[in-house]
Amino acid sequence: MINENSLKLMENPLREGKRIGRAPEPVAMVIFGATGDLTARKLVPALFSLAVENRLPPNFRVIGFARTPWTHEEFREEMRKGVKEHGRYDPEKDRAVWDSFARNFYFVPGNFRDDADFAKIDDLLHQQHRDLEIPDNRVYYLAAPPQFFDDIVTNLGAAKMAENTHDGWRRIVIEKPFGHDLESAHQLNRMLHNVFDEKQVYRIDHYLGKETVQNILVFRFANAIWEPIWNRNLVDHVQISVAESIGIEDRADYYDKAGIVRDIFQNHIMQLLTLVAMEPPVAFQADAIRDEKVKVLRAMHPIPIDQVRLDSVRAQYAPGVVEGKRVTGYLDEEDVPNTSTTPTYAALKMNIDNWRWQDVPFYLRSGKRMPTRATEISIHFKQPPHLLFEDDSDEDAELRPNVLAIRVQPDEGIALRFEVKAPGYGTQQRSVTMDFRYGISFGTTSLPDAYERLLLDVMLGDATLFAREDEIERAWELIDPLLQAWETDAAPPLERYEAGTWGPVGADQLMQTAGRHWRRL
Amino acid sequence: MSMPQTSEPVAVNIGEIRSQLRAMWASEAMHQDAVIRASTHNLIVFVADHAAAEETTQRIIELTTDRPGRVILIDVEPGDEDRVDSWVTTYCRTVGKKQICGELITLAVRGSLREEIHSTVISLLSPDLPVYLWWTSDLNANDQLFGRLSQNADRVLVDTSLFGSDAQGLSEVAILPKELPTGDLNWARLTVWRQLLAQLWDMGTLQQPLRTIQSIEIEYAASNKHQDGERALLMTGWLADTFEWELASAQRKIDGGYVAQWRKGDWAGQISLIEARRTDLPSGEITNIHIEAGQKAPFVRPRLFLNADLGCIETITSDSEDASHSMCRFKPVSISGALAEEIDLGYDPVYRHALNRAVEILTACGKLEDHT
Repeated sequence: MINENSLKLMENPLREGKRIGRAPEPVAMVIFGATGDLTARKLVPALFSLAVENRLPPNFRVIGFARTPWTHEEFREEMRKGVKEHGRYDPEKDRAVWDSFARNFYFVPGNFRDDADFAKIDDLLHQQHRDLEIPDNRVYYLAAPPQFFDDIVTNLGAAKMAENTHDGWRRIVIEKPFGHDLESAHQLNRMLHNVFDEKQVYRIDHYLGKETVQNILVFRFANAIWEPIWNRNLVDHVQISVAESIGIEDRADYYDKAGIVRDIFQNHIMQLLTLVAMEPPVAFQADAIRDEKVKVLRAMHPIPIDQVRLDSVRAQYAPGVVEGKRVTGYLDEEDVPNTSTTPTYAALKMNIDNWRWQDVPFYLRSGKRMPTRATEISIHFKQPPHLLFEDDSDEDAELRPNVLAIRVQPDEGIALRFEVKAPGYGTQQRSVTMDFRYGISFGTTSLPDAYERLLLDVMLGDATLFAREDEIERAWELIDPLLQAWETDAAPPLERYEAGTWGPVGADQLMQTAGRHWRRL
Repeated sequence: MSMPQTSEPVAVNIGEIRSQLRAMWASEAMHQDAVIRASTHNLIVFVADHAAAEETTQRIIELTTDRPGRVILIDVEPGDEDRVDSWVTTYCRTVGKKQICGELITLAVRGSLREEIHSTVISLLSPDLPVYLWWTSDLNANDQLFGRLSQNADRVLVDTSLFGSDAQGLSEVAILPKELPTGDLNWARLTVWRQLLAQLWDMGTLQQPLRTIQSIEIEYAASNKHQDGERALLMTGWLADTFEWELASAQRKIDGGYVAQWRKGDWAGQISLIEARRTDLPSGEITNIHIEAGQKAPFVRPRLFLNADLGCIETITSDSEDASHSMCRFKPVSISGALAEEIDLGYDPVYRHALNRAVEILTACGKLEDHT
């Protein structure tokens, strides 16, 4: 197989200096499942933002592939509507850019199972390569349902469209779910590797494209003050919370099979956890960072079956009120069987058995129909060893421990809570927060969407923000035994929580038994 | 944006200024649910021409509502009486649930106190934040105030389009000490054009021809003959530095603009800077770049041109029928936008190289002698 490095164009001397950012080489993005929601809601709006901000290469092309018999024109029009509704930029206001961008959209109707249809894509791309005299670089984006991944990948291999050639490189992007258990994740990786080299595979987890998630590494490793305290000596525990106010919307079929653990824990929460807990990488390079993330996962162990009842909580939402609207319970959602035991909320206590984190529990929680949408990582520091300042007005006064909170969304930022003396003649202390917010400090009205960053990285060949095969499989090795235990008598009871609340009683008890409590989001 | 609050002018008193700021933020907080302020920098602005102070203040407010920080404006007022008055202005802009606030301290200086104002300015800086000095009038490296303020600044920002002529602007910046990290708002205005030229190289097929450019024409909007070419000259300097061209000769054209001949080994090429009378664009704005490149015919002729009606720059990769066309959004970069880019992206050594090469052309034309 040809190594991508041998295909690199000569270094561009016109890009020297700080002002002109990295830009990809000419490339075509082939979207399999281009008529689906993801393409119109996320992918094309993100690509259009890159076009407006002049980050796309010349001759950037999109080839949509799906069964629907759209023409090129229909494809362009559907995408224009998608961008209008979901994009950061309005295609009507940036009409000239849109026209120039959309002119390079093509649609190939076809069947994922028909290799002859793949040849049509290949012919089109070869022709463009010859006519435009540009490299034949390709990104294959699997925006189709996972049951078609095998057909698409196999046909790409059969049509000899997967291998890097002297004319250009090939990369493939796949969306989660990366399997529904360890065995299926293995199968998926085997299937991909039958055709693609691991270095060609980009597994997208849009959480990693978020500005604050990327900032975790900068915050930890570009500031000398955190590393000395970022360990078991001063950290009491860590909380990672992913709360969603929405329910399952129209995804009952997928969600009832997946549940909250497969949907959020196996991927997003594990990614956040590894970034918070990892050791400093030897370099800011994809494999150096991913190596450290995998080491964290290897230092973790599945919750033992006899601990599952103590260290895990599962629950389903009951009817309630969210953001001022009355909502139904999970079992009353359309297409959800009324006997379903699929959890829509979970809380776990996990440990990392290494020098840095021994005996520091990581509390992980995620739920649907919570009061608000919020994702946060909070580092809870230990109490000072001795309470020096007595509060005359409160005999039971306790110092509140310092908390460093990294808000992933919304209101991206970092806050540090600490104690100060309240003004006055006594020595009463109060907690105050030092608050950094991206929007306020950088004046940005809207941060780039995660997909913008990630799509650009794929085109640039930077895999730092993408999950590697061993990360995915190790995360399943941790999660799978829990899901299996939840199918047995060892499982904790399936609790109910009222929609619009912060979860079931059991989740609070999980913390209270250790004298802790969840941070209010 | 909430209405800016401005205090009454008082004779300068550091404690008083600070207490006014505290009072104004407290009052702002009483009218809003909460005022969360962040500050990312100090910006010292020097305005020698009092008539321009109001306009400059507007640009500062535009900047600070996007890049929160403390601005200290030194406004030199006419008059011989030695006196410094000061007043403070606070303003906030709400974006969704976020509020971005800035504060402006104006020091109106008269008489000989202009030379002494630096100590007041320095005592008013927010501690431990980067300090930018934006000098809006003619530069003189021997100016005592400039020297003292720039010593305390992390960066000096100028706008070479505000000086008397292109020759004056570029040459004055070029003679500043090399160790003074200087930024030019005109450099920020060139970013989009430089980016588009870089993209031509990315196309692969144009890499070889671009190594042997036969000729480049850079057209720019001009209102006064031989006065608005700063950006075109910087662009030329940048290309010359990037491709390691040696200047063979340069002339001013009678009808405005410049022409320069370059050499690299046994290759020779020419750059023409052409003035275009355009009333719809700010002076100095680049409007067209035409390139003819390749070692022998047929040459490739990529071109970039500004379509002001569409608000776009169009790139056409060659003059053949199957040339690729692409459009890029274009909006003239405002002063506050250029300041923001300079603050965000920091010192760019590439600018200094481009500037030196641009000044080489002016020297060869004899313009610097005229100017000095």
